[in-house]
Amino acid sequence: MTTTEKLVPLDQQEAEEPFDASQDLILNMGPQHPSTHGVLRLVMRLRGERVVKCTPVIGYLHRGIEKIFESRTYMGGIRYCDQFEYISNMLNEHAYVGAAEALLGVEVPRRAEYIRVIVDELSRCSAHLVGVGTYVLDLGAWTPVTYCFRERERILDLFEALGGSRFNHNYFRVGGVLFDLPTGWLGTLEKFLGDFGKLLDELEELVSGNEIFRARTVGVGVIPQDVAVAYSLSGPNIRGSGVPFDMRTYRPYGAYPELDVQPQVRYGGDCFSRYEVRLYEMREAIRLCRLAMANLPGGPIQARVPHAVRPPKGEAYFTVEGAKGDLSLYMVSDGLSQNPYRAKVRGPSFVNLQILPRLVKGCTMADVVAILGSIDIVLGEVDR
Amino acid sequence: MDLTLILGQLGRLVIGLLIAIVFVIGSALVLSWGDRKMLAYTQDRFGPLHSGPRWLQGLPFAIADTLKLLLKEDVVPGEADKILHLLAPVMFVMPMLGAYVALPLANQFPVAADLNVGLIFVVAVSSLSTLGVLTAGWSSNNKYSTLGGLRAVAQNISYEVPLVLSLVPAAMMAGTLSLSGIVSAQVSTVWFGLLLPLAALIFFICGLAETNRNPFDLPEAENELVAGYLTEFSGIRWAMFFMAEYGNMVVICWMAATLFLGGWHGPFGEGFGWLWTMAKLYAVMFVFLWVRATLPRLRIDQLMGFAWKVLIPLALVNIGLVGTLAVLVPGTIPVALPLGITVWQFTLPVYALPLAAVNWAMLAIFVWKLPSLVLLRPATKPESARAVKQTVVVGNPLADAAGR
Repeated sequence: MTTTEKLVPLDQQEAEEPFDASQDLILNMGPQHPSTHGVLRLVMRLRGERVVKCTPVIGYLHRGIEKIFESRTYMGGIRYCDQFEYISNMLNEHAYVGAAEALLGVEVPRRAEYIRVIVDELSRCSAHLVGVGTYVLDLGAWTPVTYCFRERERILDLFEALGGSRFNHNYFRVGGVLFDLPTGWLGTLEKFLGDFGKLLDELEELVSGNEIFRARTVGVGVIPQDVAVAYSLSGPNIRGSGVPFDMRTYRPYGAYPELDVQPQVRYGGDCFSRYEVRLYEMREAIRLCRLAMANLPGGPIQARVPHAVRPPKGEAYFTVEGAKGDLSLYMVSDGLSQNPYRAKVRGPSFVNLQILPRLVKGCTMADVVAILGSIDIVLGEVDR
Repeated sequence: MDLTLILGQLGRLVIGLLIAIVFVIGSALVLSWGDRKMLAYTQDRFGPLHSGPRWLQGLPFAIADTLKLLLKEDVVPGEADKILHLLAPVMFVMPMLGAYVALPLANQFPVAADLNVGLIFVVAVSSLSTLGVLTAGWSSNNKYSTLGGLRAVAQNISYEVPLVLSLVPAAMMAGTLSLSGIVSAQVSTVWFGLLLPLAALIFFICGLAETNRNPFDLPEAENELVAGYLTEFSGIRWAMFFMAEYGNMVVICWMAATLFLGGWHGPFGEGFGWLWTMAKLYAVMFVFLWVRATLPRLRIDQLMGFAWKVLIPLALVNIGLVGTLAVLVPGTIPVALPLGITVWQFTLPVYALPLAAVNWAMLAIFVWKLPSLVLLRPATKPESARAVKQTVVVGNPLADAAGR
């Protein structure tokens, strides 16, 4: 699978078409726009409906979360992970506590690792439900998004029963998780997983099978394999281009080595492939949840870690497979403070967004929306 | 000319316009509620619920909504072309109201006047509303509005052509351009929708495009153009556009009911004619709303390609077919269809039989081939098979990808 396409630096590509005042229209799409998924601003140069050039402008949602980490203890920083990316909160918490555990050298109990897998996969589902639902909404279909959010609501209910909070869960702890599973929670989960499978079947029929949806997505925004690698994409975006790069198998963490994770890969590289990867990742998540539930060990849910910890001097880098891709946290401890000296988030959305100007070049304006939706960014995490 | 005659005609016209206005406003009220309710039930929601008593299911919301719009501040953008911004809603509403004049409500009872060129009149007048959309888009001095207005012109002009062409077969079979004449022809033969299903479907599709409904709502595509040409309109001006859009939908559905579904023709005698017209109209309308709840939006090039490369040739073929068969195959045959307790008796021109057969066959092929017709180009299918469902990673995937 080789591509003949050369990687041309963006500034050279732009040099080809000078600005033509009689034909070109500069259109500011965003920061307030229904389908920029937050406060992204796209400065687009349009020629008719065609996009000549597109420049994303970010930073409208910058809250300095990484700086905040430096003034919070290791335990206190967890709750900010719910906020730098607000769609798949559990996964962010996992990245954070993973890095902190690596610094401290804490052994996490196996039961906690399995519970983490379950909530991680549920969180991935909730993120993909938003991603797929709003994507189809971007293409003008009004109905699937409500079905997706209906099921997401049930995931949030499950999280609420688990940690007491629907959105800012604050459920992970350095060395384990906050609470054990409540009585009957697994039964509710099992019931939900059954219904969720039905929803995915329904979505596949309603959306994947729709001719207009296919016409809008198949062959649109194609990312060749080598380009995907060159742009350092991750998550469904790179797997949609046929690279089976999944942190759960590539660099397994937590309980994932014991579970048979099968990364979902599609070879189209287009919007449809990325959509389909997300859809099938949800099916995979159902399977992994069931697997984790079946193998759920007993025992404690938390290692003995004091609330105020002072890790030895050192640095740690921990990667989880986030909903949008390779979500990592780099944490430095100076050995003196109870707070991280530095905590840097490697956000997948931020990295994935790079490829947008290249993809939308020459597309129609409607395709910009389709491609942006298929890359599935969360602005909170892009800007942090 | 006799003065009383002129006055009588004038009075009839005024009454007709009043009927039209009342009907449009009433329709817009009920339909905006029905639209939301329909969408809500499709999406597993309740929709409007809390206005008025529970058993009304939120129907008074439409009135509350209208009042809200009437009382809202009338915001005009500072850089807008004030006069055109004021005129645009009027330019959009007037043609829509004008189109009602010739529509037949029941036998011998058009809304205002039974024009002998009713078909041409309705199509011509209702296509004028494009001007209002363009004016709205241009006068707002907003880039989204301008794009929306330009999209609307491109789309409405393109779809006007197959729309008119799909009406020609019905007029040819009836031998008249008068709308009530066409219904009378259907009463004496059979509903043209049964003989010309393809034309009916093309008309329906073009009707969706003409009224900017999903999947052809590009001019006001929320996800791309915010609200398209409506972006800078608020309050009563927006309400006028809103009302006129529903009014246009009613016109299209009324035309469909008149030309393809037999208009006032139905059981229980002529007295129920108006009821049958309304019932058919709202049945078509139901499909309009249903489509909105189901389909995503087309892209502009796909939309234009679908009109020019698929619908127009098909409509032309249909016209040629009707003409050829009508000339070649003369004569009529009486038909009696037992329908429940009654027997539906009519005389059918002989050429209608092969015509219907060919048309239904074409319809079947059209629907069957629709996916490729919408695509119009083979999907750029990347090299490797898309059938690969799952792969298990062995080794370093990045090295694999780079090595291949």
